[in-house]
Amino acid sequence: MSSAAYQGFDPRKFKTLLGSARSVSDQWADLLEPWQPDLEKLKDKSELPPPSTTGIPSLAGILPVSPPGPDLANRPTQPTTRQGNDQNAGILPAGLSTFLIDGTETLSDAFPDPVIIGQQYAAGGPSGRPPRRGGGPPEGPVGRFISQVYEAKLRTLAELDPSNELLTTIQAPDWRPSQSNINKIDLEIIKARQRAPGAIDSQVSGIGIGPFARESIQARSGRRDWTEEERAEINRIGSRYGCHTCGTLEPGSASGTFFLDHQSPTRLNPSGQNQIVLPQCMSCSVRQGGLVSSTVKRGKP
Amino acid sequence: MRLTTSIRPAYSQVVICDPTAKVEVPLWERGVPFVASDTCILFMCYPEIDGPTGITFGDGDDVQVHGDPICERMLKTPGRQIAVETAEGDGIFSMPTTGTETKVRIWSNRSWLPDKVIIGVD
Repeated sequence: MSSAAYQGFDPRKFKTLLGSARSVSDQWADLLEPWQPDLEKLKDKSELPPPSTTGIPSLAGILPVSPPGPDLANRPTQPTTRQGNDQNAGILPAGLSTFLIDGTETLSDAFPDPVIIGQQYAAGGPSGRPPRRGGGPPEGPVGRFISQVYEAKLRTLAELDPSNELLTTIQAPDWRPSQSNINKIDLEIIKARQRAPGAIDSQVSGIGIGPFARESIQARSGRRDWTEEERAEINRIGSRYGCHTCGTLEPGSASGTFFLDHQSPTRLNPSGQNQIVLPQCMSCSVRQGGLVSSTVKRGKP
Repeated sequence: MRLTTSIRPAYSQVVICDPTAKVEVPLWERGVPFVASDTCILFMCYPEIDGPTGITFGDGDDVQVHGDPICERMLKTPGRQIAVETAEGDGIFSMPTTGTETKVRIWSNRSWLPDKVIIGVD
């Protein structure tokens, strides 16, 4: 917007307008002043008799006699708790009205919820921690580490396969990556490497990641010293999605468990890049072994 | 000579060939216990995730068992050596041969998923 739009603005007139507005406010204050309570009079205890039902004949003897009202002369001027020596410390009884510093009292026919000392409320608790303004819980050290690994793997995937759909997935602001998310990225990274020109472990060769691969687990190493947890997880994935190469749900093993297939194959991964493990059936595992053997033999002088 | 071991070979198979020669590795077919070319035999073992396979290797006369072998082939061994390896190329057994062609006979306790395999070289 250009400065020409402000050419008709006169700061002196604006100041006058402010002044007149303030004077109207003052006028309202003058009108309301007679209705304000005289705080000095309220502080005089002689004009405020203690509350009592005895003065009302119809209620006398019906309502329980309440304990003497608060001593107005000694009423507290600061909020206090009763945590000092009261056995019921921490819970204020419902319906107990307290006088405020200015002598006024809030009256209501509804019993308020008890205020529990030590409980956190919307405005912030005794911990002094500021209230959150959206987003998930703060990340701990492990969560931060997982997030950093996830980000690094995303960058690797972006270099290998810039059009991968995992790179364009929109997540909620409070979303945090988990190990399974990292495994998905690993799966896509190895797929991208096996699609690269000249890759000997491509999907077409029958050695690489098959078309039925959906989930995987991280390989601890290139060795085949599987733990029970790894076997169970691969069996879970295999029974859900089948062999990653042919899709069959029948493992073909004697025990009925799926084979755990390293990708990329350990012998074809001399640089020691990250490997994942996928479920595979007996037939595909044996066939892949023949192809790996052929590749190893071809590599000999 | 008779050598015996118990292993869980990678990809549940062993490769029998001349380790010094150029080898044509055959392609596996579904439902067969072994495949062979004129330079290489791939023989299926017990599933590696289920347990080890006992493998015996030696002269045919030393290891021969009662009954017909499940596999009997002539392999080219131009380097006058023959070996049993894993699919990843790790050696298990090896021995010299007398000629450039070697007869290999294999017995097993089962035709499918055997856990005892005997390999005899003549």
